[in-house]
Amino acid sequence: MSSQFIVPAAAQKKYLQRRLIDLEKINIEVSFGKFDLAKKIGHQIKGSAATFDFPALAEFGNRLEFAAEAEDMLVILNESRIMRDRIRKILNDLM
Amino acid sequence: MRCQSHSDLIDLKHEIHTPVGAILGFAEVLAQGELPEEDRKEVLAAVRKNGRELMRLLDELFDSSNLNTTPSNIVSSKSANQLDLQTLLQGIHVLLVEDSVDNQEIFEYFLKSAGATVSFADDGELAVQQALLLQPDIILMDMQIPKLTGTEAAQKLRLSGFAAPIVILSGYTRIEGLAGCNGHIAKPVTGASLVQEVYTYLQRGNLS
Repeated sequence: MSSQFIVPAAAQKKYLQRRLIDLEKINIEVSFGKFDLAKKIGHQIKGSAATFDFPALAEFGNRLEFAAEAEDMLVILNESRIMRDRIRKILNDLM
Repeated sequence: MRCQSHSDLIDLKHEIHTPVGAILGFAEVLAQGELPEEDRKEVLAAVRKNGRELMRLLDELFDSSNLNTTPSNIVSSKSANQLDLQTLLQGIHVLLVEDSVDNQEIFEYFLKSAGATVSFADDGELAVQQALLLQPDIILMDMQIPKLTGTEAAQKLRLSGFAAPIVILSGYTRIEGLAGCNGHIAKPVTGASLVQEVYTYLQRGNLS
């Protein structure tokens, strides 16, 4: 792959920071029994994370979308917590 | 019609792709069935018009002695892999229909890195307006967008005579019917594969 197609670190950082905000929103929505946002964001992460070179995050998006379709609040909250910790660690590494 | 340089050939390709893309796009609209009679007549008239235009172009092309004497120009096309990604989309104007800011930013980066000019629409209605206004060389269309879905927007564009390639760019692995679109690029997509796919669809210029 040409070097110009390597995802810039700044773009990766911005992407992860936005996901942290998404996770906060999902936690609030899910606690009110609303799953649409989790489903939408899960689908978006599944489709975009690997483009930013975060394949593990894409897997999380897949699990999040699946859990939201099943309206499984516990799985969503647990996955969100794990992913939040992982994103924070990656962000620290990017600094 | 004289084809003395690579850019002449690109112009020629565009001239031929336009009516071919229109005919195939309209055929796809007709294949969806259940069009009101008036719309069906309009689509058929557009098919005939574009067919005549294609015939005229081909006649002009083969009447030209220039092509007969320089056939090597025609067969010198390279595959996307052989070409330099940095210039692969030079001079191409892409309309990116995408409601995710993340995807807008990263796809714009990839496409611009390959030399393309990129404009955006973040919902289906705006996509139709922008496409008709800007006449991009290709549209990359997300499926799940506000107001109109990607395929609904594509159908509207085909009915309006828009002939350039429209490619669905979606995380959905199974899409029921392409509804006037030329094909599907599955997300996630890397920068290199996105640029190569766009190039390939531009080369084909018709429904696949």
